This record gives sequence, structure tokens and C-alpha cells, in this order.
Amino acid sequence: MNDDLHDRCAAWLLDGARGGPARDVALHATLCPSCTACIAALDLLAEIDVGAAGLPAPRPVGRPLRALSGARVAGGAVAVVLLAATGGVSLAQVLAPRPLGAPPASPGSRPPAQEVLGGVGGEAGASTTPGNATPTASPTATAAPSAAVPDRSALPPTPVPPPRTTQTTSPPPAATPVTTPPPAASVPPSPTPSATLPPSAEPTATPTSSSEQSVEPTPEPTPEPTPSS
Amino acid sequence: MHGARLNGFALLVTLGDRAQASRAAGGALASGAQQAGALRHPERAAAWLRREVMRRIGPVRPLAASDEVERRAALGLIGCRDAAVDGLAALSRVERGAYVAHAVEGFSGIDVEMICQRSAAATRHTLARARDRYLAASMRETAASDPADGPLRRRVRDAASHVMAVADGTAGGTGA
Repeated sequence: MNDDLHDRCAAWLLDGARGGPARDVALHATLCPSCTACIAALDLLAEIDVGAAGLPAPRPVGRPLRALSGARVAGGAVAVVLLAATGGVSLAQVLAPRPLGAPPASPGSRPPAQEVLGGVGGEAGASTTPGNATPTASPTATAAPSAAVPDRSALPPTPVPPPRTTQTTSPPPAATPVTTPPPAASVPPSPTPSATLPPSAEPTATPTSSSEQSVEPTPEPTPEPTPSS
Repeated sequence: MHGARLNGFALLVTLGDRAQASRAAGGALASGAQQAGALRHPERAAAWLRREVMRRIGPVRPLAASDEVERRAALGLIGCRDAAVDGLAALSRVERGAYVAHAVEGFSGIDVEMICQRSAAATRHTLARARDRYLAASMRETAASDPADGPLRRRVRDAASHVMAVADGTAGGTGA
């Protein structure tokens, strides 16, 4: 009996609670905790006032805006990639010079930059201030590198300072050595080399001032470097 | 007025997610404004707008600890108590849309069909299922707390007291 009332109450509620409940159902509903809870749950929905919600935020009309923001994001991403690439390149460039400064410590291992300088590199690294010796060095390039290293260790000899002075005057561009080698190759045919080449043939040391002087003690260097440079 | 109601509907379907509700309602209103000229059945305009809202509401995040208080507060502003929130949270998005449109806003079956984009039979099934699930989840809360004295409860109480009055012979004061 009670179950029947319960079911009828539930059916009335689920049917939308249209019209008034039957008397016995109403009496049951006021006493049955389950039906009371069910009625209360449905009443909660009646309390909701959807109109109380404010108006939605005005919607921007154009979608171009969205596209624009997308383009901005894409542009930003490209910029970041470019920055990363340039950063990597510059970092590599920053790191490259380090070995250039290092050679004094480790003569055997040459950084690629010096090897690119080829024969010049041997000398340039050997003579504390690279540069101008290149023209004279280029001819002896093949032999010089191996000899240049030990020479540095034996730098002490006095002749070192004079070349410095002459070299430091000419250094205008530290990069010139790179450009100069080609000229050095072209130099032989040019006028002065004719004078310089013979001496390089006689004593291998003469052209490269400091390094080769140390190898062959006979220091004729002073006359040679000055004409060449 | 219509925009506010539409926003309230969206707020209920999104379980208090203001941003998503506002986007959906605003988009639906904008779409309605653009297509106002093509409207053939003005009496279905409200249902059509809610359909647009439903289309714009993606997956609804369940009530999470991170923003539950805020979302319940947003729903509380339109009179949706915690027990009702729990009941609505137990429904799927489509069920919630259908049930809110039917039980809260009073839309007829044919309108709910349009809102849910489902057949009449599927809509009836959806509504019945939504009601059962809502009651099961919501009654747990209302049974534990003081039940609301809403219109339905007043009707039942009035009917019961009338029965008692008749039994006592005092109904309507006409017994004498």
C-alpha cells in the first residue's frame, strides 16, 4: 500500500507534477522522507532564474582579429626561431676565437680557424701579434708550421721585440692576414718578392722573423723583414 | 532580457563557467542577428538560439577543486543552489541542456528536440534519463539538508492539509 502511494507520488512528479496531487498521495508525500526530498530537489529548479544572469559580453564582430592574432603568433614564432639561429651562429663565432687564444698553450692542436689561415696561421699564432708577417710567411708556409711551434717555446731570443714593433704598426686589420694570403700567392710574380724569395731559399729562417731565427741562430732577420714589410 | 536568459541557460549548461557561457551566448546572439532575416518560425527563435548555444559549448569541465567555488557562486547568482548544481553536474552536456530547457525554462518537447538536435523519441529518452539522474544526485543533498520550501512542496502541503481539514471536518470552514 505504502509502496503503491510512493510509486504514484513518483509518477506524478515525473509526469511534471501537473495539476494537484491526489489526496492520499499528498498525505503520503508530506510524511515520506524520500518523496519530500524528491519534491525539494524539483523545487530547487523552480528557484533558478535564468534571467538573473547578466548579458553576455559583447562579441567582437570581425574574425580578422582572430586571424591577426594568429599571424602575430606566427610572426613571433618566426622571430624566435631567427633569434635562436642567429644566437647559435654568434655563439659559434664567439666560441671560435677561444682556441685562437689557446694555441700558445697547446701548439699541436690547431683550431680550424688557424688552419684555414694555413701557413700563415702557423706564423701568426707564433708571432704574438699575427698579421703582417704573412706576406713573407706565405712562401715558407709548408715548412713553417712545424717549425713555428717549437720556436714559440724558444721565444726568448731578443729578435722578438723588433718584429713586434714593425708588426704592430701594420696590424690595421687583424683580418688582413686572411685576405693577405692570396696576395702572398700572387706576390711571387710581383716585384719585391723576387728580392725576398732568394733569401728564403738560402736560409729558411730569414723570412719568418722570430720563429725561424730561433731555428737557425744566424740572425739576418733584421734586413729581411724590413724590406718585406 | 533575451540575452540575459540565454546567458543564464548557457551558464547552467556549462556548470557556471562564465567565460564559456558568455562566449556561447554571445556567439548565438550574434549568429541570430545575422540570420534574423531568414527566420521562418519566430516562435522557435528562442529554441533555435539555445541550439546555437549548445553547438558552441564544447566539452564542459567537471567541477574541480580549482574553480568549484567560483562556479558555484556564479550559479548561485541565478538561484541555483548547491544541491541543484550537484544534480546538474551528474548529467551529460546534452542531458543538461535538455533538462534545463524543459524543467527550468519550460520549453515544450518539440523545442527541446530542436535544442538537442535529436528525434522526438530520443529526446523523451534523454529527458527521462536526465530527470532520474538529476533526482538521484540532487536528493542526496536535499535529504541531508533542510529541504527548500518551493512551489511544489507548498502545493503538496496545501493538498495534504486540505485532506486533514476534511478529515477533521474543518475544511473550508463550511462544516458548520
